[in-house]
Amino acid sequence: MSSIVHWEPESPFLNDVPSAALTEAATSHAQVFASQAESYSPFVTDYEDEIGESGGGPRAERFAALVAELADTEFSEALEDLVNEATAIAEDRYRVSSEANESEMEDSGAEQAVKAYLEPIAQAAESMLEAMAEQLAQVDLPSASNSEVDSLLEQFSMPTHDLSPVADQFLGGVLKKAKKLVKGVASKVTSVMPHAIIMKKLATLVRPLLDRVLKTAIKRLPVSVRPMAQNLAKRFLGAPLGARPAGEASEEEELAAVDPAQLEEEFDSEIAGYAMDGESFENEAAVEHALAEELAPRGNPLRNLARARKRFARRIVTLKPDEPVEPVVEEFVPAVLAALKLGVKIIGRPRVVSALSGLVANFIKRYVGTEQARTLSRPLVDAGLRIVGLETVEEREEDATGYAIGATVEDTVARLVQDAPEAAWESEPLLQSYATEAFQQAASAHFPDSLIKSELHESSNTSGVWVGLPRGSGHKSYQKYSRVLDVTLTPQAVSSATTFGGVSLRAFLADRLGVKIDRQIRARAHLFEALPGTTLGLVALGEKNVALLGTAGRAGRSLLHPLTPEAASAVLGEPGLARHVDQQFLARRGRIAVGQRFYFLDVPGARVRQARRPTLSGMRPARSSQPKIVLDFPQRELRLFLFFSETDAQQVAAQLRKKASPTAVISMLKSLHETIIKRALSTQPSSVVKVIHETAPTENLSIPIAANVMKLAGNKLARKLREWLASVLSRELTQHYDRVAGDFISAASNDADGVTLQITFQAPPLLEQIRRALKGGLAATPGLLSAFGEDTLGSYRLEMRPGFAVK
Amino acid sequence: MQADFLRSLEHWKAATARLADADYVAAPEAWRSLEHYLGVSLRHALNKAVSRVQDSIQQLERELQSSATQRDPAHWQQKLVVVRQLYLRAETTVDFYADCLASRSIPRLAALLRACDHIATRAMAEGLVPMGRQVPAALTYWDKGIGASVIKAGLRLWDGTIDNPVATIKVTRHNLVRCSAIVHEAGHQVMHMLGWVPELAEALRTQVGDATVGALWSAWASEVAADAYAHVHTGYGAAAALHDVLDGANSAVFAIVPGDPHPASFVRVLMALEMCRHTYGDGPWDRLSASWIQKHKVSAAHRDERALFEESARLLPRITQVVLSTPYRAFGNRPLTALIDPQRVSPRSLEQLSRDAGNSAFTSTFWTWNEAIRLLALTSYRAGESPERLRESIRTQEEWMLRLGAQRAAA
Repeated sequence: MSSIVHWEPESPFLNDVPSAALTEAATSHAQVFASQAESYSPFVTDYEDEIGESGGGPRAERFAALVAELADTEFSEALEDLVNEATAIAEDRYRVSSEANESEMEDSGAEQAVKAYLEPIAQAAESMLEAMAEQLAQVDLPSASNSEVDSLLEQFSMPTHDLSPVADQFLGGVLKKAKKLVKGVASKVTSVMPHAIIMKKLATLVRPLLDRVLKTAIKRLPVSVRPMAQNLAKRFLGAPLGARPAGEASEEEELAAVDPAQLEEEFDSEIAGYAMDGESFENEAAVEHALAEELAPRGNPLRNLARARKRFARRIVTLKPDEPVEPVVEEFVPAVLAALKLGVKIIGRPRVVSALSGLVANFIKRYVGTEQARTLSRPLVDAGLRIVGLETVEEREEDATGYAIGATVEDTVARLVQDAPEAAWESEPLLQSYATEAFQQAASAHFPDSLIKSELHESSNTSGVWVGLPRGSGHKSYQKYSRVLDVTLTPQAVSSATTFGGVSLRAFLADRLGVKIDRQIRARAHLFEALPGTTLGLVALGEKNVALLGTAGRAGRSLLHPLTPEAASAVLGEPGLARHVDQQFLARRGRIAVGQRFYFLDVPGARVRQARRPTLSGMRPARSSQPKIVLDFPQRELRLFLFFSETDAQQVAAQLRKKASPTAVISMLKSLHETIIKRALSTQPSSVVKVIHETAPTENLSIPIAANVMKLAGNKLARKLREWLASVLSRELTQHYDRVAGDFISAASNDADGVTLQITFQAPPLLEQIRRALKGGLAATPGLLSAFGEDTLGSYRLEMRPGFAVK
Repeated sequence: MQADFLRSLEHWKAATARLADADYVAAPEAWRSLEHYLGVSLRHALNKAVSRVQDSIQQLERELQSSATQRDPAHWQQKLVVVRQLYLRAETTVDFYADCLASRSIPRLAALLRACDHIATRAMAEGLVPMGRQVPAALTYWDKGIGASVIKAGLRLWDGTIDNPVATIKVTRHNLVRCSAIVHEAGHQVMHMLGWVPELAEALRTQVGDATVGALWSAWASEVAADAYAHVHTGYGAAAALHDVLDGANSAVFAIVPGDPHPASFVRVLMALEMCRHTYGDGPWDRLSASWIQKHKVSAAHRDERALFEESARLLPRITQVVLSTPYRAFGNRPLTALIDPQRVSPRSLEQLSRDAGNSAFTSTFWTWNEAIRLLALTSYRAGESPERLRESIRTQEEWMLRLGAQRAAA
């Protein structure tokens, strides 16, 4: 390790002068790594490839089928909206009191406010479900026919209340799920429990669910609740889940905030488990919950980080020339690590933390103190700080420097824990190298280009900085780029850029905003970055002075797009402003990563088009066309859902009204979905592919399985599906044009948003081959690949429904 | 004496505090019915107006409290009067928006007004986006009267210090669902931003071939511009609706009011119908034009003005040519019809729209959202055909505007 004595970090700053103190500090922490390397790794052992070891069997299939049946898009959305509304309430309290010193009161104020919001919802849901249980106790459901069950379910309705529209949707979602539970238990499983008892259990599970909503809103729930759903399912599946293909990133990704979809999965797993095994499952679940509670972090790491930020920002700019910087950094770095899922694994190693703090202290030591603060503050203000801070409290210029240095430290640590491989934590030279790179990137992001070497600039034509908002306090909800960029949207650019779920930006703008980009249009782009705890609802909520944003509602946050390198090139012409993230964070807006960047396009005159929800009350932003492929192993079905946005549906309907040729119609129908199918099956399984498999009962857990399927045969499956789709459309439109056209026009005439076309391929042999391949691993792959060549279009069912009917 | 002034000041302080309270301006439902950003902009503007009064009250209060010597009561009285005046100006601003928002607390009316907001915004966007300009937010409200009106975004309000944050458009009660007038008002905003009116005024003054007629029409340029904007967006529908609004007594139809930017109704209706002839050739406007001339004979005009009306009527093809087909710098050296193609709302195009959309035309969110102006043109066109079609059109129009209002519900 002697070589490190001469190591000097490469500074990202111009006019940098090497410092002797810097190398001394690095040396003093050198042996930390050697001693720790043999005995301790900051990371847990990687998942093993468990394909072939999974449990399976009919019981697992029934469990998976019931969980799949319970999953409901509208409930998911309602739950997500509830989490966002509760978060907005908590945020309001945090913002109002962020300057106050009574931090405990600040936290309890937010908690009390959210509790007060959720309590009447819990009461309404419980009384609704208990009333259902009482009615169910009066009937003999097991011997009832399907139509009798349906007519019974129709009698159940929402209680009257005066709660918010979001709460109303949530209650509607709970009612819908309860009905699905009754039907699911009747058809999917042979339950040991009477329906009424299961319904009573569901009533008792609502409050724990809302408690998790509360904890999510006040940031007290750890970002990863996946093990809970996983552990609850273990009883039925016989083996641990979540095997990811070797080499594919998963644990290294830092989720910014709890994904509300995970709360639903846990809820569904618990009720499905209870429906199947009754009290014995209940006892097991109680133990799992107790364990989870035990393992949850004490205190509130994000609130601690907020306080640490403030202290750091104040102290770092008031250091006297002879005062050491290390103690200030050593106090701050653990708070940053504690707020990161991956950081928690490092924080248990005080000596590594100390070493890391030493490295960071060396990076920043020449930029601290009163004099430096004054020198640095002017360029920061010139970089546009005032623009982004208009709506918040005034902050002293020196404070701006303090927060900028703090943000640089925080970003350096976050980048390091996300990007540095395990080996880097075992070797100081490697860690130094990664830390230097992380610091250069972080400094370039948080300091104006005038202070940064040109080769490190994030952008070529603008000079902004990333600023934590709100300004003037340690409580930061997200970061914003201090410059709003003028961009020119061309048809080519918006066609090549995609937003969440792989939807093209062009389609999104047309469907959601009614903006047709058939010529150049000028717009303004606001850029954002996620911090630990950031949700897109918080970003939208914070942007009070930006048209169409300013609330945490779905409409606002749905206008934020991932700033991928491709989008940054096509839309902004500034690829360096993007941050690459794993594909899983491009699937939906509820699941985003720390450091992930986003953009909002302020298009002149654009407004969000709202559409009626499929079954629940109220409106939601109109959707874009999207396919969904469901590999349902228990049902032996492959279902292809093609949702046509209202825009696309009306254009198809107009062609059909004109009696356009089958070729023209097929071409139009195919073209609207083929690109996404092709792209999704090779790169984005999580957004478009759903796997119902005995080892993957929930959508999140199905992602690794879907990834496995796609890794084995994604391209071939995509080609086969497109081939079958073409065959089905061709056959139907040439043989039954009038009927198909009539059905489509009729569905399009309904005032629901869009049209869903569902093709169910029944028992295609390749599905069985995929199942074998999933169980048999690579040995079964040749059989699977040959099956694609042989499998021809078998029996299928074509259905059309008004609105969004993707399940 | 100073105590008396302080007591008076306390009265205005309390009054100003009420003025600043959003809950005294409009019901919570009314605020909620606005788009979030619109609400923020309005509150910001109102707070700014009220803050100015509060600042002046505080200033005077400090002066009164710190004044060690007795001063001439006239000095304080003068300062108090200034405060009162500031208050009254701020109150006028607040009162105006309070009236605008009042109608938004009735859910059905709020939905219709949101649809009007949408139509106004789309109409402004059609002209401003191609010219690379920002599109201001629109706030429509309903009120009594015959004609619509607009307070343009960016204009100074009554207190003289704050700019109107949104294009505020009055929709009349009688025309709430025959609302092509909104497009006319949106046209005022667009032409203000693009600077067309001075150019058009100059062109009318110099290019219509008669100095007297040219001078007269030049003075009417702002309203002619807005009528032209309504024509390119809604075609015959705009002309038919204008006809119905202006079809009053001859004394009004032939009135030329000095300083009034509105053309005399007689020639204004004829111009709107001539625009249809200019753009689409023969059509139902010819019959309406003949009927108008028959109902309102020029002989009913003041004898001094008859020649002016007759000459204006004769020159209408040329006037229309100047308005619609002459290139202007405001449009990038193109005519208005190149910026917004009126053929999109020709009778043939509207029939095509009706065929393409079928039963979905007035139910699909796609058509009602994206083609709101053409659907307005379609229903307005049909309303111009017969009493039965008018009745049917009003019903249809109200239904789809309610849907459109729901689509634009505040998120």
